[in-house]
Amino acid sequence: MYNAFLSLLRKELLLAFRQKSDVVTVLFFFLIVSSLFPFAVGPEPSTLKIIGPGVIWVGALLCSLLALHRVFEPDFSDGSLEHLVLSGEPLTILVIAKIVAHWVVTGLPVVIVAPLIGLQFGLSQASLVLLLGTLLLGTPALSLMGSIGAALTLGVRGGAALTSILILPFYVPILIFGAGAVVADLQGLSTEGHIFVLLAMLCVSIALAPLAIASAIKIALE
Amino acid sequence: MLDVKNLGFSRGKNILFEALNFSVVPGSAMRVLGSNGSGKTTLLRLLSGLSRPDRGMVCWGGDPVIKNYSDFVKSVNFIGHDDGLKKQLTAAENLKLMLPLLGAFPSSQEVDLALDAAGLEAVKNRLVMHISAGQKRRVALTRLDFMSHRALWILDEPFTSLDAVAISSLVEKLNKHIESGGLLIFTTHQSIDVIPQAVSLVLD
Repeated sequence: MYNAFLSLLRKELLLAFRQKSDVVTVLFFFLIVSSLFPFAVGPEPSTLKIIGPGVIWVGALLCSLLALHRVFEPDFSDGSLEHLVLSGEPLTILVIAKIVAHWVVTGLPVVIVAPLIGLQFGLSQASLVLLLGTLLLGTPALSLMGSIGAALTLGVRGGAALTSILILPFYVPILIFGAGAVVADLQGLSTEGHIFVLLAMLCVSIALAPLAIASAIKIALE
Repeated sequence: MLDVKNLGFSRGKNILFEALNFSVVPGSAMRVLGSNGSGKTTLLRLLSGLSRPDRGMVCWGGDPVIKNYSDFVKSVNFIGHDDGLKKQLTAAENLKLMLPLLGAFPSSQEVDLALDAAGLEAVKNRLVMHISAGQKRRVALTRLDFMSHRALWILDEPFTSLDAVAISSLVEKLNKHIESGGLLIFTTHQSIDVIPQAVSLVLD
């Protein structure tokens, strides 16, 4: 099981490395979306500081959505998904390997770049650390929940748009508590509640999303 | 032993087959024949457990496969129409990263040797997107060299896109599997009877 997990993870990361343009596109999209806001709302530092966390979090959310169709659709098209189902390894474990790869490709670059973007919005060092922490908790949850939508829409025409519609209601709480934690810190309020809710959402996602995805994949292959 | 009992499957109002009964014992082969759209691929997907029948059941070792599906799939080696190869990886990388998922752990050297033996020495380190359809099929079928631990081989059109040399090599592998007590079920459009000992199941 451990070997299968590692082997699939290696395969997914190697594929991502070979398709660098996809990774770069996601990162550039994040940079562009986050950088355009100061031009639109003006250079007022207090305004930028208060909207900064929200802008960065919306950018992270859109980046996750942007790459969701690549989690299972290529495997569905080329027959690899059948091999995964018939591998004899627990499908939930293999699904986790694919989601980890998705997060490494779409979530991790955003987490790494986010503090730099945060500087543009005049966030303090403490706020940047908090932003980093909330993104580290929230972006894996985005990948997990988003992958449920990607699996449910496998083989459906216009699946990417349908995935967005299905998944956005589940993304919104993560967005609220992720961005809310940094805003609360800026306002001198306690951030513990936000962080614990984010952590709880991540734990629930880890526990339930792979099961839901495995079931959705089996249904799609039927 | 694989038993198919009273198997029925419909696609919408189109009944593909009804009350299908047959058995495949260890050391034997079955060739599924039929015109396009007769349900050959669907039958193979039902036998491998990828799809569920409307009626009837598939049994493995006397038990319905749905009863212990996770154990059953460890006995199945399914190669469908799609090769499951990633076009951004080389032929060798595809096999090296795919085989551990299927419970086979050959060394890099063993994979290279198998690809060489399949006549793919010149293209084994080339990206799959840059090799021909026949070569892709041969890469996918090279996987059979490492699947002796899976008793039930279910192959959908394995001879498609292959040249005479590759067909001969594949037949040799399939015969070896049957002689060692394995089970083989395959579909074919080949007019030549490449596996003469296989019994035929004709779907109308």
